[in-house]
Amino acid sequence: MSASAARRGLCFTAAAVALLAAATAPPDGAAHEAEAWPVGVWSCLLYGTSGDLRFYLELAGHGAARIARATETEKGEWRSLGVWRRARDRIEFDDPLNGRFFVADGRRADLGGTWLGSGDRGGWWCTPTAYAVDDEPPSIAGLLPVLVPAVMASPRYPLSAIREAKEGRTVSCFAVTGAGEILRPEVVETTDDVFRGPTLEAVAGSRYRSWGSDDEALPACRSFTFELRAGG
Amino acid sequence: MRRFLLVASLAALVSAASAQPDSRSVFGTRTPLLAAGADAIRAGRYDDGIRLTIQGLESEPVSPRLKAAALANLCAAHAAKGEADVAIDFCDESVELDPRNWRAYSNRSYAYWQKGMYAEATADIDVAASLAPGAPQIREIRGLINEKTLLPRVTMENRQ
Repeated sequence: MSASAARRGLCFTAAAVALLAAATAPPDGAAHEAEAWPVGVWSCLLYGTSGDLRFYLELAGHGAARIARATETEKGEWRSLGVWRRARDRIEFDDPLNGRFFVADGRRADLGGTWLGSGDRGGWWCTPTAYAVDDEPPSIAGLLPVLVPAVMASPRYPLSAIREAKEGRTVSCFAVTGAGEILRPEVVETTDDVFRGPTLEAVAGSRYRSWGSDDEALPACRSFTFELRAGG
Repeated sequence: MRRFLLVASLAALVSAASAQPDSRSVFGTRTPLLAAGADAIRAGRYDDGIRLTIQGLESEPVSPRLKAAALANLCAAHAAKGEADVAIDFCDESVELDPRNWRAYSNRSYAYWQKGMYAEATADIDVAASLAPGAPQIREIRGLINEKTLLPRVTMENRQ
């Protein structure tokens, strides 16, 4: 495909996304307010069956959404995602290049939720950065730290779930400060509410090794699989 | 927690012992001793219930089905007293008379559970569940069995 054809394709995709956004935006037109949550630059984590990915996400007050993975960040570039939109209690945007549709629960303090792709799905979680919208992406160094668990507390298996032979899965996401403390844990996915409490208790009792300064925070998630096997 | 479970399981058994929401409707006016025995067991007066039920079986006219119900009640009362072996004997007799009496299977399951015979307890509770799928007593006893036989495991994975 020639460069001009590729540009045309991108323009078409952007136009299609813009139309979709127009169709789903609230009729009052107040979908985006400058400076209002979630406008800003976010440090994000995406997880799924195909692996995990760190990236920066920029949500501008005028509705534009841009992403920078390590490759774009290294070049100091953003890649456009089209527009983000607010629909009831949700924040939504598309990544047309990777065919992913992102949804965030707009009632949370942090930004994150689930994503759906063709044949794949997962979750994502973001912590705010101090960077301003319309700047270059933040330093790639912010995407590289490896978070090493220092204490991983195990959740208790709820007795009521054992008695009812219930198995399940949860995912909790949170922010990890430079000192390794876990902040604002949330349950992003759960197959059954009975596992929610033990998941949050376990996360609250965990911590990571320090990896940076106190004023920084990285998003992280932890999945829990609750299983029962015959043995008594 | 253990105390709670015991109380819960006994409650299930007492409920099972009562045979029906109103035990008199099962045993009828022609079998007042059996009805009084069922009421006593339901009220937790197991010794009285056992005595009255045995008297009723000896003196009142009972069909095989009613006799099976009374034996299931004796099974429940002895199980509630922690006398699992005696309970199992009564339940065996009850099942032989009426193989569709789910309470006898349920009560015997609880007695097997008391003895740590979980495979037998599971087999009986499965039969009880097939005969009375919605009975809360069955769910209660299956919970007790699951608690002893299922090993929980939680695996964690960090995503970053």
